[in-house]
Amino acid sequence: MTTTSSHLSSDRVNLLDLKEWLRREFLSFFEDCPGKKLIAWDKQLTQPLGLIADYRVLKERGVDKMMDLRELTDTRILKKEDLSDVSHIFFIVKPKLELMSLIAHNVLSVEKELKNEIKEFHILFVPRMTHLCEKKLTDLGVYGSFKKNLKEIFLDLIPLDNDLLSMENSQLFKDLFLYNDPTYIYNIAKSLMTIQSLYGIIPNIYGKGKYSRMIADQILRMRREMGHNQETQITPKIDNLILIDRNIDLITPMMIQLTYEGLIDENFGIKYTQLEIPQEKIKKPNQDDKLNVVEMKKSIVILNSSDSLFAEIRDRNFNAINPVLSRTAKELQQTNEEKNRLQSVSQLRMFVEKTLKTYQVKKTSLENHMTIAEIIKELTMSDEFFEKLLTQNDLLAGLGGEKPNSYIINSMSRGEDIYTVMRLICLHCAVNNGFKTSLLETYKREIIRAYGIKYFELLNNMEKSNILNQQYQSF
Amino acid sequence: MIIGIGWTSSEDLMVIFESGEIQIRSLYGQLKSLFNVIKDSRAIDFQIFNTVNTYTGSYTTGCVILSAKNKLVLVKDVYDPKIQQFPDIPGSGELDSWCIISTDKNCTVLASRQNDLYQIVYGGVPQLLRLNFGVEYNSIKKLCVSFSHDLVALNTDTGYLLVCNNEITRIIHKYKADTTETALDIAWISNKAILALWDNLYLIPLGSDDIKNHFEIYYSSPCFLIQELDGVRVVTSTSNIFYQVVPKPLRDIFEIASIDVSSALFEASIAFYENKNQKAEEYIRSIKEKGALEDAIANCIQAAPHEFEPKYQAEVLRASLFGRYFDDYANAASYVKMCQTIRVLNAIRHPQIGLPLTYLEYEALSPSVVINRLITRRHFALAIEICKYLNMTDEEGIIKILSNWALYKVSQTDVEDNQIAAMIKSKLGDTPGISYAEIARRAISAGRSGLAIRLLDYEVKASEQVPLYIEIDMPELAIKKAMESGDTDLIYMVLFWYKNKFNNVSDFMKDISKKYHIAFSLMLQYFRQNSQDDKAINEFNDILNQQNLINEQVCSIINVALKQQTAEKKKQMFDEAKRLYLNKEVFNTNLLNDEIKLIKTQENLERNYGKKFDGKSLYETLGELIRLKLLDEAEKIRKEFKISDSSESWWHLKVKNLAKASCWDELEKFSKSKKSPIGYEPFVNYCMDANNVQEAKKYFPKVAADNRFNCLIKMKCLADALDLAYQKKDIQQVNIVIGKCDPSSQKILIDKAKMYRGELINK
Repeated sequence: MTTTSSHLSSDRVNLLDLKEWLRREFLSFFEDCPGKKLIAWDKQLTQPLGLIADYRVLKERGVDKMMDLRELTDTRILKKEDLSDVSHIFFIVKPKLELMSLIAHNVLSVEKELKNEIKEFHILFVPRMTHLCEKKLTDLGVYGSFKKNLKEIFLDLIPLDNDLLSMENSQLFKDLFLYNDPTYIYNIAKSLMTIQSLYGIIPNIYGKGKYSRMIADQILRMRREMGHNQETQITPKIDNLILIDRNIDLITPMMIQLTYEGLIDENFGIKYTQLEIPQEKIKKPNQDDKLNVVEMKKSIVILNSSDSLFAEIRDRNFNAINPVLSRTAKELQQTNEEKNRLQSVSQLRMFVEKTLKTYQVKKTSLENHMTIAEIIKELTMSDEFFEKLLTQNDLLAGLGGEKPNSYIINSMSRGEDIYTVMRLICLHCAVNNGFKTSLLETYKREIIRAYGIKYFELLNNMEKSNILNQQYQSF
Repeated sequence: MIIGIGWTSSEDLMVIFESGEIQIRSLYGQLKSLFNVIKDSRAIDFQIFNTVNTYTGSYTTGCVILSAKNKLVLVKDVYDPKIQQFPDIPGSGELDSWCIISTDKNCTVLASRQNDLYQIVYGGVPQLLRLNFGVEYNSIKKLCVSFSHDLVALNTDTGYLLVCNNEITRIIHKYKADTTETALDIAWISNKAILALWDNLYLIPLGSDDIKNHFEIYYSSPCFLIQELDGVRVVTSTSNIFYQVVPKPLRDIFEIASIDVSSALFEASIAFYENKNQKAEEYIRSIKEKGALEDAIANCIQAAPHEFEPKYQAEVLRASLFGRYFDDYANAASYVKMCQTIRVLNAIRHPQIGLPLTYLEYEALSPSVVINRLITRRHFALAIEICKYLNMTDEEGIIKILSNWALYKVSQTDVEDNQIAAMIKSKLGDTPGISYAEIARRAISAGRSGLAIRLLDYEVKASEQVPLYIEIDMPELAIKKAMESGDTDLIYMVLFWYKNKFNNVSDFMKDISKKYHIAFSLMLQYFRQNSQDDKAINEFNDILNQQNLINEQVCSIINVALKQQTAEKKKQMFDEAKRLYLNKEVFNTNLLNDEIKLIKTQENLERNYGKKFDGKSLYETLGELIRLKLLDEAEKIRKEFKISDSSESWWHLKVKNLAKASCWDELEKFSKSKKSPIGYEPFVNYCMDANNVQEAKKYFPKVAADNRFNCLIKMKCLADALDLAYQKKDIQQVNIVIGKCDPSSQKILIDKAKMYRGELINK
């Protein structure tokens, strides 16, 4: 941020506002409808919407049952017994045509089976309703069943942390860079408009890349369409908007992440700030190890900066987290000793009121992170990891040259995970600014030979989206 | 046959037909809406009434129709007509008179037939009212409700005029006319006086219970009474005279012998400005002594707008201004505001504009409604000036006026498209909030699509433009604008509409691929995402083929091929895919050829060895063969696929799988077959993967010096590793050894390592 006055820099963007706004929007759909409700979800949306309002909150609003829409197919269609005393049926979906068919199928069957009961059907589109879906519903003859209950909630940028919003869309890169589908450009611009309606117009936009340009243009266009509305009255809380096309830097995503959080993501994947560790990984460490006295009870851990310990270590290099962990352990120990020294009842009460709760929270957090760190350490200590890192660094330093890298070739014949291999190849390619034809073909042939023809499409797509490319023959 | 006409609160003409049809027409006679309230009878009488909403102060116009069958039909809001039936009127026979009392809460009809007076509440039970009026009468011939619907005037056949409350529970005033004829018309001047028309016009002030005096007003031509908020307009063939109770502020000032302070203030200002004598000072002092200067000023300000003549308005205002000179705490706000109001009132009262509103009416209507009335009268320029003058918001003022002006322009069919478009653009410019699409829509409905196209060009909202372009069948513009907007949903909407213009999908795709790049990508995406069944996939493949997107088509076919059950079918599909390349993409063609070859090979292997190879990659197949110790087969395939026997891949494959299958002799033989291109470290590693230290050690001597340390670690020969590290003076490696040691069982080794480390550090 470029502000010089301290009061502005202290005025951080409070993403809670956005979350609260989304929450109100979301819950209002249920509050407007009295009676018990059933929700049929598009499974992909349960997690992002769960971040906005959890099941308990929905239950308070009369949500009685939740089902996975994709499971409500021929054999398991909505039935009478699902709908006893339910007066509203909500479908919460992305605007996908195949889901419209599913919905129609269910609606028709319910209407047929329960002729005399009045059920209201609703569709809640995330992030927006499309003409295509409306048309599809009309074609399927159920548009009328929804009366006017087709709503949308613009949940496209999901607030994951106090400084992070994400679309959490794994399809985006493919659709945009491979298929030139500009839908996301519009959606991103729209999301940024939502942000600006809450936090004021962002005065400066910087960007790099073709699509960033398009988004910036789109934002300007939308501002024009809006005219001078009340938005201008909000003092901008965000000074600069920086847009960067992902394909400007194809090296970073190919590298192995070495921060604590990064390594967790590399090995287990973090989804919607949740980490799910396979149970068998947790039991493994030997019991006499001091660090691992308490086993983790749950295998799901929420990773965000509300956990102060995690906030401190998430972005540290994995090798640098130990001091923090041991310091925290010492602090906890001190608190514990303090407790033992307490004598009077009033002192104890003070302790219980003030310290105990945070102590408990900290303790759980420390236990969790120690367990995770232990598992990760195991993995990073392995020779394979070391070799992989070494190869990566060689490639990054441009030592890969124009020959096939022998570690990559060997990994393939050893049957290493294809994505590890692909990442290294892509890195090699990006650093070399493209492969010579023969090298590209060698890699491609080896991949097909090692992993099978099913990866033909992957290779083809990567080439088409310029992640794997040939050098321009300059002479 | 028309049985009556009347005005609605938004100044539309209501025409009521005998058939029960009601038409709402604009000031210019254009039909706006019509509805029918009676089915099986005819309308014989009607009443139009306005209901004031107590919260918003706005008026809703409704009407009640009396049918020949003596049924009353209620329409509460003629702009949102819902036909409701009143309960039947008890008894039979024609009604003498009836009227409507309408409030927020309910709507009541008072109906009289001879001696009887009925109160019929909508949704209630009709009641016969039994009130002793204390006068002789046979029937009530006329009923008239005051503007506020608080009071009702009844005219009996015996010449009495009675005023009751609206519940008809109390008689408030009684008046006996000289004649026993029924009054032709009765109207209320506020709640203070009644105008009744017999042979002449009678003004009857409602003073005492028993009214004796009245004023008779002579007109030479027939007159009509129109009851308004604070007075009655008497319209004759030559005049339009307004009767009003003199408003209290004016009375306070001008009434003879008024003792009100404002009267004194007025006198003071007259004395000062006109007579220029010292009395002014006396008046002011007398007011100040009462401490009522502020009241006096306020009353003067309040009185000014009630005057119709600017000269008197100015005089009264001047008095208030004069008072302010003596007031230390004077606040100009109310004075300024009133001056503005008076200016607006005078402007709209100008004969050319012709809106002679009283101040109270103006206040009741609100400036925004006044602007609406100016718009309907097409006084756009004045409306804009007033908006600016009163600082009204854009939504309430400018935008509404300009839009309406533009809509009016559009309907002027004698002016050319270009000219109108230019005029509209120059006036409206880029005023935010103006919807050019709305104006264009009007142009379309007026059959002027040429004008609509020009107007749409000025519209900034693509989502508004596009549907109209579709409506006037302009695909190029619709697609172009949709694409510019970036709103893919909008683009899809246009494209699917456009698609219907083609006989088949491929023609359509051919068309857009040439013209619209983004649209084309989008359509491909659509097919890609929505081609589930075989038929759709084939269609999609055809499109890909046509568009020369061969690679994607090949991928699509491969994906289908991989799902096939039989090898035969698979081969066939891969072959089909391969042929698409027409021998152009040599590399990809070879890949597919290899796949076909692989499937054939796997078929043979499955037949010969009864093992499943289907779906395995080439290397997986080779690995499996080696593990099955079918080395000759593996060798054969290697040659067939031209894998060099000195390639790293081949060596890795072989070493790994031989070790995995514990073919230690074969492994040794292989290691000696030629110099290993992958070195001998992998031999050690693979042996160790199979937990065979013995075998691993065999290859250790051949391992290149640099890799030996790692091999020793891998073989868990920590002592040797330590020695090697010490030899090479490598502290890091010493540390690695320490890290690998088990602290409980290998204490000696650790001590040794630590000693070495110490030595190395000191050196």
